[in-house]
Amino acid sequence: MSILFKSGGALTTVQDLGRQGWQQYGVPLAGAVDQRSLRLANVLVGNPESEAGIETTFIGPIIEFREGNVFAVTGGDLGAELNGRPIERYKAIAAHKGDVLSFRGMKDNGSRAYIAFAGGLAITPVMGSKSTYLRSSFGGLDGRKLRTGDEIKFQAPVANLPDLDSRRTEPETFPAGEVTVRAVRGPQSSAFTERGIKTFFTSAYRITNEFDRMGVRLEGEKVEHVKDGNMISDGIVSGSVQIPTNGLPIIMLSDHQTTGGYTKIVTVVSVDIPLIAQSRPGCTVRFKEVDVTTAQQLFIDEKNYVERCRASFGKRPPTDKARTLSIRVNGKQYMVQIEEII
Amino acid sequence: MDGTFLTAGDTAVSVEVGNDISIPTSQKVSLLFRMLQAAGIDGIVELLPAYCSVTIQYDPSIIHHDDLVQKVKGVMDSASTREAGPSVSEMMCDIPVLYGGEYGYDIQEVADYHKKTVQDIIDIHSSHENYTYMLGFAPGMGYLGSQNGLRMPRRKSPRLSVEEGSIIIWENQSIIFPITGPTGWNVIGKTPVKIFDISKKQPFLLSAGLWIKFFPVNEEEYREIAKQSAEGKYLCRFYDRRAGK
Repeated sequence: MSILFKSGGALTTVQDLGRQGWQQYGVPLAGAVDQRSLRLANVLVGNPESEAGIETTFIGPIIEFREGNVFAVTGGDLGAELNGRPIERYKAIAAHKGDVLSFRGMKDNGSRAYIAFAGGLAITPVMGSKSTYLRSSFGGLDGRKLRTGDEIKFQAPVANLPDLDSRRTEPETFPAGEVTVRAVRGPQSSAFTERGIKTFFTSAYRITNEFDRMGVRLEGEKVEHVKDGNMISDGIVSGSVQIPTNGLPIIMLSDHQTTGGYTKIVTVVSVDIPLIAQSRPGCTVRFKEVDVTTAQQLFIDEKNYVERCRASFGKRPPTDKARTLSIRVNGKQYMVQIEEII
Repeated sequence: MDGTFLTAGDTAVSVEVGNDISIPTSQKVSLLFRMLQAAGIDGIVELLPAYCSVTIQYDPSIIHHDDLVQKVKGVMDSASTREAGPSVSEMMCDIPVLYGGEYGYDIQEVADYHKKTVQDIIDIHSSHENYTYMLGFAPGMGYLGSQNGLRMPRRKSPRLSVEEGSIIIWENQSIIFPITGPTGWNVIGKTPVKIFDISKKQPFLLSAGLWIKFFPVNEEEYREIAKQSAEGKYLCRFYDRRAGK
């Protein structure tokens, strides 16, 4: 009834879409850094978008299925294989008992992969979320990254799903060397000189090694403040770009602290945060200004895309020789495929 | 109520109602926070009060930035005309502290700095009210301000492993340290109560706008409270500040 980790990989954690409603108490949102990939993985296996999956960074885990279940791998291409054979990303796959999911290694296409399992993971929510918050050691599995020997139970596994073959979405690619993200000015853009703002939007910044689930420090042209980079602490959101007095930007990600005392020049639009999440140290980041209405339309477009994906499954015409039936035995749901044998 | 609206991307807006760290500004923040909670504007997913602002996070597929700003302005306008409804909180909470000794090893230095005795420092720190401006840095950690006159600079070299629950001071602020770790603030005591207990349905003792009064306990009382606290049996006393004890 579970998956067993034969190896935890480099940084593998249980994440859902985050811990909403507790920021007033200083509790960070946490959750998947690339939320789009987790949503798509969940949709592929028929879960609610908010169900918890596995987020793995750079070097993936080795996972043995102790029971059959449908799963999907999305996000960065870390070279996913089932029983040693490459598998497609962005596609629901039925694994059998004893199958082993492993990752051959990172390609030049993203750095974080997401694995969702049909029916979700049996993890007790902490403050309404299954997300692991590493810094305070709660959520997920004992509040820590996954390691060899860990076992996570399935919540409601299925041996198969209707229209399994149609459960696929366009595999996504992530820019390898340089990424341009769109951003909305504010909240503290007035703390910067016109020259500083121009520097920010025209420069190429390099991602340093200080890149984790909390945020990304960039290096490059220094952005000029009117006075300095300090302010009375206020709220931070994912995508906030802080610039302390040293003039170098920091992009905040899921595990960011709830408040901070550095001026924030722009906020990266929600739909482009995954581009940062999927980049890696040494990559170049550029910022392109958009207005808030454009950013909100992008958010709505992405939401519609995920919903269209969900609606598209099963729309392919079935062959007339095979039928899938759903039957219920002793309270458990089974999908049975009946094929005409000549 | 007047405020400045600052856009924070496609999912958030910060409303600033002042530009200083003061109790009047903080109480405005607290009032706006409570009014927005009560207003229940469709699409708002998170409200985060800080020193001078409330950051409102929302779902842009439910409400557009401009509509949200209009609705929040409406709530703020009603603040001057309303008669009933949310008001400034005057809730006070008493928190026990074992001052000095191995639990508050910097208290002698604090006393020397202010040319007072250790007992003076204990008397001053425990007789003044503290106000919780906001929570942040780590789950459950409150930034408490007081006019107790015990302003302290940072230590020249930080303490590398200060225990969770330690009372640390800097400038006119006190913090109940939420984790065991390093700090450059001075350690004057330790509380046996937990400010963050994940096993509880409401895991947090503090909240923005809460008044705090520390009271001294001896080592025996400390141990007893710590024991009760671990069993979830110790309850800090909460009461209306205006009514006194």
